[in-house]
Amino acid sequence: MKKIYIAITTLAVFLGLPACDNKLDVEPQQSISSDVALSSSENVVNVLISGYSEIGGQFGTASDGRPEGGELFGADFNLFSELMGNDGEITWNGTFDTYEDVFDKDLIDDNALARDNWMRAYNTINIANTVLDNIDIVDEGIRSQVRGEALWLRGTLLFELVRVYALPYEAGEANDQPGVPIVLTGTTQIDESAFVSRATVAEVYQQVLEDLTTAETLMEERNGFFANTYVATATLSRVYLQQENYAAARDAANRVITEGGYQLVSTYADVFNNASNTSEDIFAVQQNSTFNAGTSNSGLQTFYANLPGVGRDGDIDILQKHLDLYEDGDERLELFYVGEDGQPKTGKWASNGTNIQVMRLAEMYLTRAEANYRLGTTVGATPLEDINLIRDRAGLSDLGSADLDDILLERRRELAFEGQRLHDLKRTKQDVNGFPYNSDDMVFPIPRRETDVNPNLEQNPKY
Amino acid sequence: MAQAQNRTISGTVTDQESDEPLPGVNVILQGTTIGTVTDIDGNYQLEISGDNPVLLFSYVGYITQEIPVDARTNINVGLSQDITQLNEVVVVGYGTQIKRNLTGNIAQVDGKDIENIPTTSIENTLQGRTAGVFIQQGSGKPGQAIKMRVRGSSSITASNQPLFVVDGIPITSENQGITNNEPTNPLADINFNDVESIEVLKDASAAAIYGSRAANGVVIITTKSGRSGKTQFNVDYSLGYSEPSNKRDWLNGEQYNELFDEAYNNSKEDFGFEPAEFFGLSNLEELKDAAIPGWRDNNNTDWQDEAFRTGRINQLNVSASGGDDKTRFYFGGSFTDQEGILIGNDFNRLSGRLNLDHKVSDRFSFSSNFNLVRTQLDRVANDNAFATPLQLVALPPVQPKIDPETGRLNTNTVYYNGLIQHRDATANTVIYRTLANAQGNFKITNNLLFTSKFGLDLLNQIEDNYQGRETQDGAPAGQGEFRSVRVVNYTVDNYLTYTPVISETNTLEVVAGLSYQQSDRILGSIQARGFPSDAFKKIASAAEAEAFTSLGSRFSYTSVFARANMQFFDKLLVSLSGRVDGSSRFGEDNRYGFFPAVSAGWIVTQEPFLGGSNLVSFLKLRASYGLTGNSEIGNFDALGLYQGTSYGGLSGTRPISVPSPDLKWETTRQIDIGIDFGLFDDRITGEIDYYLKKTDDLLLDVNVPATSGFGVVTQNIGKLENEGFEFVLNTQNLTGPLSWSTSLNLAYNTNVITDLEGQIITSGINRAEEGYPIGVFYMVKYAGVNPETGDAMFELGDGSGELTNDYSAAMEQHVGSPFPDWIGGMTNTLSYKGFELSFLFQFVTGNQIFNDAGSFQTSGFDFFDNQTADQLDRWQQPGDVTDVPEVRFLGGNGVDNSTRYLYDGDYLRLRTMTLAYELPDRWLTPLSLRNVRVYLTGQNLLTFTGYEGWDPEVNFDGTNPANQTNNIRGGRDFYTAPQPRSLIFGVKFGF
Repeated sequence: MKKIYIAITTLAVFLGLPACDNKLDVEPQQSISSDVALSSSENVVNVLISGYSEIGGQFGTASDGRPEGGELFGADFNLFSELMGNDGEITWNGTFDTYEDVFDKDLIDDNALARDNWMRAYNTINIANTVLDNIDIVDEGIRSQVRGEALWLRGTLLFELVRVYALPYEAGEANDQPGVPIVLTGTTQIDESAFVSRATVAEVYQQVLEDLTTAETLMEERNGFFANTYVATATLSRVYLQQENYAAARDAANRVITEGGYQLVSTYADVFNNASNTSEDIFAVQQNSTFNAGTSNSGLQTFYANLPGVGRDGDIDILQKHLDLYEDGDERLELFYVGEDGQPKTGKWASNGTNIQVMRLAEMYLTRAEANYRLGTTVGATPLEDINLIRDRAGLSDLGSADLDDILLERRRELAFEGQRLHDLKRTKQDVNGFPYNSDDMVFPIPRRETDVNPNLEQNPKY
Repeated sequence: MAQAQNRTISGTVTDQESDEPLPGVNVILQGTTIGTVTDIDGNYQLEISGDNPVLLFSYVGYITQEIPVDARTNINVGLSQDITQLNEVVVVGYGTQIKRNLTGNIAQVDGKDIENIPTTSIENTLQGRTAGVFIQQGSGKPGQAIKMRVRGSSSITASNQPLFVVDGIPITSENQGITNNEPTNPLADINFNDVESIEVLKDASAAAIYGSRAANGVVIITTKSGRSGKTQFNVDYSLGYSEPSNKRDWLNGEQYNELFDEAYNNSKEDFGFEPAEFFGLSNLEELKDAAIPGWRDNNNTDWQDEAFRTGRINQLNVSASGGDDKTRFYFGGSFTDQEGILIGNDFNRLSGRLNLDHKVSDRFSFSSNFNLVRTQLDRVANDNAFATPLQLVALPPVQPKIDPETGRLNTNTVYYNGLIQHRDATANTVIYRTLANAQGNFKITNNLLFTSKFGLDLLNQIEDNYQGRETQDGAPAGQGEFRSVRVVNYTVDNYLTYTPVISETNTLEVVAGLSYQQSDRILGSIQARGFPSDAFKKIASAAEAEAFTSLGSRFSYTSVFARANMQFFDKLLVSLSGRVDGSSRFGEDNRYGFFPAVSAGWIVTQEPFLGGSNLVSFLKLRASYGLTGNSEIGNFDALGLYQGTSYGGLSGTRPISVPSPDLKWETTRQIDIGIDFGLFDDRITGEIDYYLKKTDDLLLDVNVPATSGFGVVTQNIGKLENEGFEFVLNTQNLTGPLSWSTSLNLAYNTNVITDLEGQIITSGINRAEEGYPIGVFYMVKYAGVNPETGDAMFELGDGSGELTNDYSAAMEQHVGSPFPDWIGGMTNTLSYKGFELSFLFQFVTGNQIFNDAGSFQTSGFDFFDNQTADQLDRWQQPGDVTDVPEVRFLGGNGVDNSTRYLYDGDYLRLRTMTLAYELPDRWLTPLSLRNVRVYLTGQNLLTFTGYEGWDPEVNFDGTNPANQTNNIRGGRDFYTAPQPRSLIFGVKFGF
């Protein structure tokens, strides 16, 4: 009798044991584990979508140990270029010394902007890589498109990173100066492979071209406000232009103009501050009241605008030197306004929660014009025709002839404060406020956080 | 001539004093392994043989009796209780042991020692009573979280709080409060008048049976159970008051004007222009008119008095205990209402408990404990908010409390007038807590007991907050927040207890079983703005939702545990224990951990060479070694996670963490060597312990290259150590009509971080750094005032010994620790003819306190804040020797973080004192009363300290601190309320 009791009880006690192991497999509820996140076509597409919210720089989404910040295309890629590319056309009055150091071309290696944008850019590259690593799960019907978008995300970010964190690309040279690390696979675990080194500038550009040209062939013609084949082509035109590969830049721009179906908006002022894409937008960051790069301590409007309820207290003033670039009657001049502080401000970024233009059709005309001029060709149109098209929309009379200076000036006026300035100055090898185009001062530091944690990363000369 | 044939002896064993039957008494035939155990009615039956048989009756807590059988067949025995402390029953994990036989280190506090102490939370009553247990209330606000460190801090990122076990069930003890206020304390839901005893398991041998959650020690709380017999009622009512244990001296209105003007003029001279120009104004009077209107009117407002009040305390406890042979019950009901010493800060708790024990048959019994509690906490804003009462002290005394123009609370104060918050804002936290368990005991054989236990801890907390339209954060149209948290935490334990009869001097007890615990937490909250008027406080009337969320989370543990206690020849003790824990929190590659411990003891006084000595009546040497773990980290730190995001109105998911499949618990290896002794027939007893705790595999957030897409990953990296001594001494100084006993405990602990892979983790001026104790203070050293210039001076800190007035040129240094090295307490109890006086002194020493608010309170009028009275001693002219720098408005003279605001945190406190009188029986009998006790109890009546702030028992952890912050940050004062000084008068009737 006793033995039976013992047997029954022992059984009762220990039967529970094997059943308990799966009780330890607890799934989180506010987030999902990577197994689930990558378990279906729809889920992989969800991961891809997050890549756009990252390059859009949504404010305040970091909960993974990196700082909240680094607004990429949502703000900082623009501000880096315009502030550092300043040669007396604007002033920085803001209290954020991180931006002030960019403006002064006097960065330190632990500048928070240098750190945050680096971190978020690679965070997004990891998102793109994760999508690419799991591309086989994606439904066949959309697989090429999804793959193309992921490649575009990676390619365009590597291009921006190498322009910001490395010495400029020198056409016709070896370009073996350090670029940025190229990471091509998604991270599933931190191991030795996480301790990457910088590739050369040439290698980075090669990777960018490979990503973008592949993306161009994979993507559809239309894809809402997400990337499509023309977005890749337009990005390529920028890359080629930066490399002074004018023929390729011209052909890419021409493809977008002739095949893309985009149209210039009739009034210049209507190009900006829109809640949805215009016919001219090739790629714009979609913002609204809940998704934006910030309205009080970050974001383009915060620093450029100075209107009731929009912007801080007028951090970026436009100086007369810039206003003097425009002819009388230029509608682009009329877009400037006098802010609440009594100083001129650009009207391009003047309304919270509206889209941020990253690439628009006008740039393609200007690129085609410049490239045609430099090559002595007239692919698509003559340089003069393209320039007059742009002038015409700005309410100006046609020019009778246009030389390179005219074309570059038109570009400067048309694309002012859209993030092109520094890169245009560097590729045309002009001094910036006394700094030579290839000055070490105009290269961002590899963030100290990164060099501290990864000894394989070589720092830039100045830091 | 004795007979040699077999025969059967039977009888009943009872408690000699109460005549209650004693179940479970060992009855053994001396010199053999023949024996049995009494049943629930105290009956036994034993077949014996042999010559001159002698029976041994032994029972935990009673004196063993040897009785020659002679010719009898029926032997009834009355056992008397062994009142020496060595035979006290000590609750251990999944069982009990007598203190004499312990080989581990356990501190015990008797429930009756903590009855009626006018405080809110049970840990608080343990202060000074348990060696090596550091307890710190962060502030004098009731119901706030309390820091408890058993033998030092053993973690940097995971929690350092011990595991709390109530009646065998691990309970929810983590903060569940709103994120914009200081953490609250779920242990405040426990009515400590229901508590029979509290045991703190300190060494590995005692704690290892709780495995991966035992590295910080385990606190076992056992509630009272019923005693059979006539039902006994106790009614206990007390009332009293509390007030701040200390107030600080501030400048009055006249002094304010004088020093402010002086500071302004000093700066005007330094700057070469009017400091008013910074505000767009032209001179001193214009500035004062603009910033501190009222300064001309001879106001003298004592803002500190406005923040404090005298709080009332009301406590009612009713209990009933009784039952028969089969069923016993304990009922405890209590109502506690405590007004805090800060305006608007109240705590009340209503608790009902029913503990039932029922014997179904000789083999089967069950018990059930059921406790329902309602706790209400009326909160004030966190210490770092203008809205909190004590920040009123920053307001200039020259400004009136009531605006003479409007007749209402002054809204023109230089900072927000916190009295408006008191008038127009409410923050109520109501908690419903159910602690329940059901236990069945089935005796499979006389030696084998099967126990099955189910325990539930249900915590339901609702916070309902409203800030009116005139409050700082509620403007312009009111702001409300509703937040609800529910934590359902249940445990299932099944275990066997095997106690074979070997012989009277060789015993064995084996416990082995399984445990499963699961805790689910859900939270929902909504914040909204825009109410039609302040009469509408519910979000139904709000115009616009500002924030809303709902969250859910779970963790689970599945465990196997075992322990064997062996006793050889009544003098050698060996204990083996261990637990295998599996936790959902850990990586799949390291899901299960094994935590074994071994300990041994030698009762030297059982040896012939010491036996019978009256000088050394008891001596035991013991040693233990074992592993315990710490798994108090985030529930999903091991997983690679994706989180929701959106773009252009479409949702997406993005990776936020990378898998860390190797992630596991922190492991603490602890060695403990101790001596237990009794001298002069146990009139003096004591314990001396040495321990060394080495913790490795510290759970740390480690920075990784961001090129991976991730910033940090939680990994097991790093090591730290705690080492210390503990001394306990209990003496009966006087016995007889006047009796006097003393209980003293002292403990010394050093903590050092031995490896962090070079990382330095900071929380402001506290940091975790290799080679230093956790939380070490790191700042510039203040070097007094230059007598020629009145400048604050700092040590350069470069080894040169030179001083500088340039703060930025001075280097930071390691300057102190927030945790004490020596802690202790001493209780004295004197009694004479029904009078009893008991008082507990408690102290800490060796720690420092930094007053973060010093740069506002003691800043030489760096801004408009009222200043501490010591600023009257400021430097005024060359040759003045003082340590208060020249006052300079906006001049920043010595206001940066430096040791100027760092103080020694030593204190000695008369923690609890009770004077009681037990009415003599001859008065009671005619009234049919069993006993009547009247008492006066005081808490924090005296404090001796060098600290210049309100209270040396202080720490402002900030709002919603993460474990890591909580661990590293310490010894910080920021407008933090002092402990209350309370006095209550009570009467207890027993009938």
